[in-house]
Amino acid sequence: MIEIRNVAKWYGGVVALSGLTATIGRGLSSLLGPNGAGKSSLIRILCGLTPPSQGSVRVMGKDPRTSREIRKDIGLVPQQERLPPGVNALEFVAMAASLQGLPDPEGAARKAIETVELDPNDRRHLSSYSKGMRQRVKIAQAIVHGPRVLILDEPLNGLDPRQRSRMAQLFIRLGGEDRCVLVSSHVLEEVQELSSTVLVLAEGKLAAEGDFHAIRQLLDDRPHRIRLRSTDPLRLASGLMGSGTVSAVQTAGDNAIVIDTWTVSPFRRRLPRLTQELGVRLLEVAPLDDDLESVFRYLVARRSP
Amino acid sequence: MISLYRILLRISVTRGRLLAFLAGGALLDLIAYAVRVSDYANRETDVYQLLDLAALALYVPVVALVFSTSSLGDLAQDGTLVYVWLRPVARWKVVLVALASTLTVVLPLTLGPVWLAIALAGASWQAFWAITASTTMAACAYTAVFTAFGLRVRHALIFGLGYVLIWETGVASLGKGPAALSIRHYAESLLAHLGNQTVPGAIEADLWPAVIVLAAVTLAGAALTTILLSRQDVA
Repeated sequence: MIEIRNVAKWYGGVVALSGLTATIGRGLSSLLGPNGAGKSSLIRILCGLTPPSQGSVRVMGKDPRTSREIRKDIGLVPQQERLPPGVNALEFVAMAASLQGLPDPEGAARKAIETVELDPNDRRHLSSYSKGMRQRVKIAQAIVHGPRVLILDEPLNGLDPRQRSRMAQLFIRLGGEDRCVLVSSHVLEEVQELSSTVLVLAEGKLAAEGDFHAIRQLLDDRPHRIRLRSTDPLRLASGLMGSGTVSAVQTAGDNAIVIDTWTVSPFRRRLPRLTQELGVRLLEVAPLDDDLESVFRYLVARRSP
Repeated sequence: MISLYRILLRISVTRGRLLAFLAGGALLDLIAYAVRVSDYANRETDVYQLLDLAALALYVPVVALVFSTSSLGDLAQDGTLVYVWLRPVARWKVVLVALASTLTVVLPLTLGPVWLAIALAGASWQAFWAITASTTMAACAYTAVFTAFGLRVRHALIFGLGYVLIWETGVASLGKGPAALSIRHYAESLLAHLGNQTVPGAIEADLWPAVIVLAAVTLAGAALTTILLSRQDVA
């Protein structure tokens, strides 16, 4: 439903996206990447809000920047929180329904607001809503016309755990209704809950794409660096080198050693048994490069020629 | 489109703006009353001069500026334009609705005080019709131009005030050349011709060219806003 061909976007001298090519089909897909990876720029291009500096995008075969027709089939939850002042949820969502040309804007707005578990009879202005409520109003205005392509930019931001779970269920349901739903996030666990298809974006490039489990495997199968503090670091270092699960060991002071491993899962399984066999007590296990930023950097470097 | 009209109206009309312009209008009326009591013999001429200098050169463009730049311009600045832009509606219709909502506020806010000024100064019915026509046409032209300006320029209010104070009230009075590029010049010409009065200090254009230019500026402003909206890089 969405075809992205060699898309690049730059703002002055800043490159936001570079040589991006991907296809997004029906169902629920996730766009994963750290802040500043280019997710919002890509989403704006997909919706036609800004033209790509290079390359092309087609949504259901049409250029979203120039085709008025395609805007009937797109729903967007933008990242920015601000909503028009001085209006309530029903008025705002009814305006969206009216501009979409729906025959009964107020009826459609009521239904959409109820779908996101808000009260359509709440007459308070949107400015008095909590962040989570405003987020749900944004979702309501995006789904009010039943778009075939629904794009949500960090839609779970600001929601409490219960709301997150309910909204995630809603996205999964919408993705199952013969439409393309694309959800962006910088949280790996969120993506895991949402969808099986993932596009990983980092530093403006497509770092990985495909099934979530394959991506997860890819993330696990990279070199990991872990700091281990124990009662006998030298004995532990020797034992680990002999176990064949680590590729390098170095001492780090304070009874600690730092190990490198390419096989993190076998290492995790072997470590408790090994410490028991060696009679060493582990005091601390701390991954040193497990933050998403470093994971994404690794993926980008891996794909670069 | 009615819902968009209502929402645009609500966004631009704030209590502070209304109070400020009601106070400005009241000041205009106070001066008009002073004209009546101070110089009864020349009051008709004095009223025309007052309407030209205070209303057409200053009050009307400033009211139009504040409300026009805040309609689509504020949406573009605060990132809420996306909720209008990403809908399958022709851009010219959105612009038309924005202009209509702005004029809904600008016309009463400008015509009300000038009508009251006419009444307080005890001027003629001819002055009433002349100022109604010239204020209406000037308000439409300013609204169209400033709506486009608000969509394109950051801090449009500040730059717009600079334009009104420096160009429309200052430079445009210096000669025929700059006057030809001033909306006020055509509005005061309309006032003078329809009122059959000489407006002191005014550089007059002929009646029909004045009408045509004001209408053309309105249309051009609306067309420019439509083009800018279509090409807008929406946040």
